[in-house]
Amino acid sequence: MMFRIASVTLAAVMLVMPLSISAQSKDPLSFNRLMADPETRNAPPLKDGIHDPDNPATDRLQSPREAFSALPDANAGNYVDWVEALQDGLINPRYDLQDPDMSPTVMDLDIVREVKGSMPDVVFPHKEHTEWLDCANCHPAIFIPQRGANPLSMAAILMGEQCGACHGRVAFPVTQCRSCHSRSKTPADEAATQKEAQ
Amino acid sequence: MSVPKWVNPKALHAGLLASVMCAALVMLPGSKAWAEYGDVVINNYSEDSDMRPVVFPHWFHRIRFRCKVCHGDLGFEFQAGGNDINMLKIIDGEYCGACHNGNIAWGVENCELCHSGKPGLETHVHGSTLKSLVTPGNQGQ
Amino acid sequence: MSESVIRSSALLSSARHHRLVPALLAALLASGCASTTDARQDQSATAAPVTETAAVTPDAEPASQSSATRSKGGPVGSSSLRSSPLESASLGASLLAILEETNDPVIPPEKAGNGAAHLAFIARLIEESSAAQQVSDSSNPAAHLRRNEARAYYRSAVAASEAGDAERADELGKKATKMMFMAVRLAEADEVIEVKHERDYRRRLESVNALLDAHERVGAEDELGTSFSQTREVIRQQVARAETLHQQDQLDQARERLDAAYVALKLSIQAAREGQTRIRSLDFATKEEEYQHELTRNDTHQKLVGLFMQDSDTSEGMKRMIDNFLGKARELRQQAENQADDGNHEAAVDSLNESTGQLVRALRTVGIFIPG
Repeated sequence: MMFRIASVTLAAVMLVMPLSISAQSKDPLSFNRLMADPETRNAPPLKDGIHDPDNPATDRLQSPREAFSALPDANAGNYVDWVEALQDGLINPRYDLQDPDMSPTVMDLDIVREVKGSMPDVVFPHKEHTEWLDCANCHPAIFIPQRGANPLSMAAILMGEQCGACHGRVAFPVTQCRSCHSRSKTPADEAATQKEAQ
Repeated sequence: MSVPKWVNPKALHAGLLASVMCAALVMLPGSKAWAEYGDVVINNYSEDSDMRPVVFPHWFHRIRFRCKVCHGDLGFEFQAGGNDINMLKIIDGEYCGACHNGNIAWGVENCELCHSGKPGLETHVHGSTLKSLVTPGNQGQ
Repeated sequence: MSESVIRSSALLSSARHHRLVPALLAALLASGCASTTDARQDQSATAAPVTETAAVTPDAEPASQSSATRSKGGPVGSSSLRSSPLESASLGASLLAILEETNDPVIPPEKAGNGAAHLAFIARLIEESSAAQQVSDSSNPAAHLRRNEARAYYRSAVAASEAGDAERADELGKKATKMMFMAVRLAEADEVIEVKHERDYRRRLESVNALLDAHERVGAEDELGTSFSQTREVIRQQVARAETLHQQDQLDQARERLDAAYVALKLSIQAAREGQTRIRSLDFATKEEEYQHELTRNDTHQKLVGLFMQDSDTSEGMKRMIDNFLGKARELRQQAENQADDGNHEAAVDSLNESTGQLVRALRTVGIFIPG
C-alpha cells in the first residue's frame, strides 16, 4: 500500500517538476506565458524565421545570442535589460553622430501619471529615456511638453501610439506591467496629489 | 525486467508512463523560432527590384549607437518603411549610407548583408505588440 | 596580328568609341579627375589619372585579356584612328583595358548557375536602374568613366563565374557594384537630399519652438526669475538668426545655428528641472469626461485580454470562465453606452467601471496579477 502511494507520488512529482521550472518569473506582474523558450529565443539569423537561409550572406550575420551572453537578462523583448546594460557600463553606445566622445544630456525628471483603478500609478522617468534619446525625438511630435496636454490611453499605447511608438516595437513591450506601473497608491499619495491639483 | 517485490507494478507502470510523457513534452521541438524582437523588415521597393527584403537589426545597432544618433541626427522616422529609403539616397550618404560607406561600417556594395530577408515578407517590425493584436495567432512571426 | 593591334581594333570598332574616346581622354588628362570618394583608392590627387588606372590595373588586366578573346563589341573594324595619345601617354595599356569594350552595355550572364541571378542584378544595376539613369543623364565624364570600370569588373565577374570560380566572381561582382555606386555619387542629383534636409530642419525648428514654450512655463511655474527668461531671449534670437539664414537658402548654416540654440535650450531646461518629480493627477471637469476616459479604459482591458490569451494553453474550463466574464463585460458596456445616450453619465461611469471589473477578472484568470 505504502509503496503504491510512493510510486504514484513519484509520478506526480515528475509531472509537476518541468512545469514549475519553467515558471521562472521573479516579478508577479510580469507575464511569463508569452516568454519565449530559452532554446529558441534570440535565435541566430539562419534559424530565426525572417532571414532567408538561402541568402549567401546570412551565415555571416552575428547571432543575437552571442552578443547578448554578457548582458543582463530581462523577461521580454530581446530578453536583455538594455537600461541596466548601459548603466553598468557593459555597453557604451555613441551619443552623437559627429562627436564620438560627447556625453548625453541626461535630465532626471519623473512624471507620475495617476491611474484609475487598482493598478499602481505610472512613473515616467526622463532619466532613463534621456540616456538614449534626444528631447526632439519625442517633443512635440509624440508628447507635447506641457502638463495636461497628453491624455494617455493604454489602448492607444497597445496600438502603437504614444509610448507604443517604441514600447512594444523596439523597447520592452507592455507585458512588463510593473516596469511602468511602479508607484503604489498610498493615502499619503492621495493627499499629495490633491494638493498638487489645487 | 525483474522488479523488486516491494514495487507495485501498476504504480511503476504509471510512473514510467508519466516520466516518458514529461520527457516528451520537454523535448518537443519548440514553436517556430522567434526572430529577434525589434528587427525591422523593409520591403517598399526591394522585392519589386528582385532583391530580398531588407532586415534591419535594432539590437546590433543599439549596442553601438544610442537612439538619438539615428532618430535624431540622421533623421530616421519611428516607423517601419516610413522613411522612403532607396538606394540612391543611401549611396548619397543619407540614412544608412551615412555610416555604411566603407569607413564607419562596411560599404553598401555588400548587397546580401542587408537584403537578407525571406522573400514575400511585408514591411513590419518583428514581434511588435501591434502586430500581435492585429493578427492574432501570428505570435512570434 | 599583335595583341595590341587586336585590342586597338576592338576598341575602335563602333561609332560610339570614335566619339567617346577623345572626349574621355581629354577629360581624364585635362581635369585630373579621379574624384573618387573611396578611401581605399585615395592616392595623391595630383597623379590622379595615373593613380586611377594603376588602382584598376591589377584587375583590369585579366578583363582585357578575356574580353579580347570574346569580343562582344560588334564587327572588328580596321579603322586607323589609332591616336598617338593613346599609345604614347603614360596611361598606357591599362587605360586601353578600361576603355576597351567597356562602353558597351553589359548583358546578364548567358549561363544560369551559382550567382548568376546576382550577376544579372548587377547588369541591371549598371544599365537599367534609376542609378543607371542618373549616370546616363549626367554631364560629368567622371561618372561615365566609373560606370565603364563597373562594366569591366562585371565582365570579369561573369568570366570568373563561367570558369567556376564562384568566390572570385563574387568579389569582382562587389567591385562592379562599388564602382557603379561611385559613378552615381559623381552623377550627383541634389534635389532628393535637399528635400530631406529641409524636412529635418523644419522638424528641429518645431521641437525648438515647443521646448521654448515649455521653458517659459517652467520659468513661470517655478518662479525662476529674470536670468532664466534672459537665457530664453538669447536662444530666441539665435533661432531668429537661424531662420534668416534659412530664408536665404543657406540651409547648412541655418541648421548649425538652430542646433546650437537647441543644445543651449536643452541644457537650460535640464538645469531647471533636474531631480524633480511632477505628479499629474486624474481630474475630470465633468462626468462626461470621466465617461470618455472610462470608455478607453474598457477598450484597453479588452485588448489586454486578447493579447494575453494568445499564447496561453488555457483549459476548456478556463476558457468558459473567461468567456463568461467577457460576456458580462460586454453587457455592462452596452448598458453604459445606453445610459450615456440618455445623458446619465454618472450611471454610465459606474456601469463601465463594473464592466472593466469583469475584464479584470478575466485577466486574472488568464494569469495576470492585478492588485485590488
